[in-house]
Amino acid sequence: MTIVISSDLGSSFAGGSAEGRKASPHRTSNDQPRDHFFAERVWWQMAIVLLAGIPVVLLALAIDPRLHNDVSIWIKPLKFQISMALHLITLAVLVRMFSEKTRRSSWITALAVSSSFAALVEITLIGGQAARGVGSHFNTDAPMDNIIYAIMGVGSLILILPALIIGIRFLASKSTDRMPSTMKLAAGSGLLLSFVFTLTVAGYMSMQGGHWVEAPTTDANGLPVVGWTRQGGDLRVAHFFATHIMQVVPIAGWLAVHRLRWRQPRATLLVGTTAVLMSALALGTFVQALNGQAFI
Amino acid sequence: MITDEMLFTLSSRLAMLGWLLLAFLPHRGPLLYRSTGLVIPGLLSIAYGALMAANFASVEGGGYGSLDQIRALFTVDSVLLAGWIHYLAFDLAIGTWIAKRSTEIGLSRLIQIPILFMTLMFGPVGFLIFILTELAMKQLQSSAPRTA
Repeated sequence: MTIVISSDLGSSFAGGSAEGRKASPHRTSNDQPRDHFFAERVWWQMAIVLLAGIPVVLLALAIDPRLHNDVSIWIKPLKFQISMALHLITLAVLVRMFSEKTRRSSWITALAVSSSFAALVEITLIGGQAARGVGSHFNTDAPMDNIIYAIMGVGSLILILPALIIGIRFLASKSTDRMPSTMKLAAGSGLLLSFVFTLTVAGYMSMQGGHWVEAPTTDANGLPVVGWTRQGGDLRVAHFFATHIMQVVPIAGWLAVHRLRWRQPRATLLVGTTAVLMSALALGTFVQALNGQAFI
Repeated sequence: MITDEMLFTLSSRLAMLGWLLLAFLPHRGPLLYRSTGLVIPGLLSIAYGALMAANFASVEGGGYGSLDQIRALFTVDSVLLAGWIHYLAFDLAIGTWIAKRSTEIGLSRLIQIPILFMTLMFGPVGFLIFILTELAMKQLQSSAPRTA
């Protein structure tokens, strides 16, 4: 029995368009529902809208000389477009393991609408502050900046709330043909660990007024791509690993179950090991940053 | 570093290429309509978006609420360029729509070209002439069987 996780990503784009809302979705010979329900389409479509803004931001990056913390003002909007899109897509893909009744349920729909709306608010504020040439996070310069930062804080909570609720729901569910126990554990633990560690790291970071620990307050000469400082602690490292547990652990489960076709307990062992290692990585990089040490 | 001059030259040439293809390519297929109606306006829109992102919010006294605010925006060269690219993008997209519809209703290419030229030069005027032309042609066509 195969279950659609990422092998179905291509059709996910198409599935968002027309007939996803039929009461009884069309089925393939493998008995896999092909259609997406409302919640999944909301997540997918908001993710696509976020990604659709990337070309403009990339060109802005090339023509706008304004800097924030000594790197282009447009780096942050770009990072958030990508990471929030990934977040929403992950939720949309994972809930496909639930029964149709659950996927259509009002609580999943409410989570999809609220988290997608939160993503829209986040990118509007982050992009808007970038356009104004000022910082978004940690910006308490003017009353308006303060309000914006506060709204972003609330928005980020609404954005990650589905990870908590859906994570618990996975762990509380009985395994089914569509959701073998290994995948149930992978999705549930990935989402829950991601939520808990992200909340811890990002919450701590928001109380610090910046992401540096015993490091010069500049983002120049950071690690390629991610931009983490090499001259001291950077709390964004732990945020990164914490947040992406929700992708890494389910992918490990998917590999074990659907690619390698491992039997129990091997498959579950891989998921458990991955969850533990990722947690250690998130905690370890958190402690590392708190001690003022660079990631690499 | 990409300068405003570079963007101006590139955008204008890209738009002109689209207009020439639209006006003079003997046979118009989906590939042409996709190029002049989606791809070129899309690329121009990226340039517009980036220029506005980089400049719009930092213009002192700028905005859309009064002529004074708009004038303030256009005193900045990059915003002026963005405004120009806005014309280029939307005029060509509308031009493509006009070309497609006028072919569908059987408007001769000889008549289409002056309408497209008006759209290139004075966008809304070309648009207006087309919708009035289309309206009149439909009236004539629907009344034709009775007069015949």
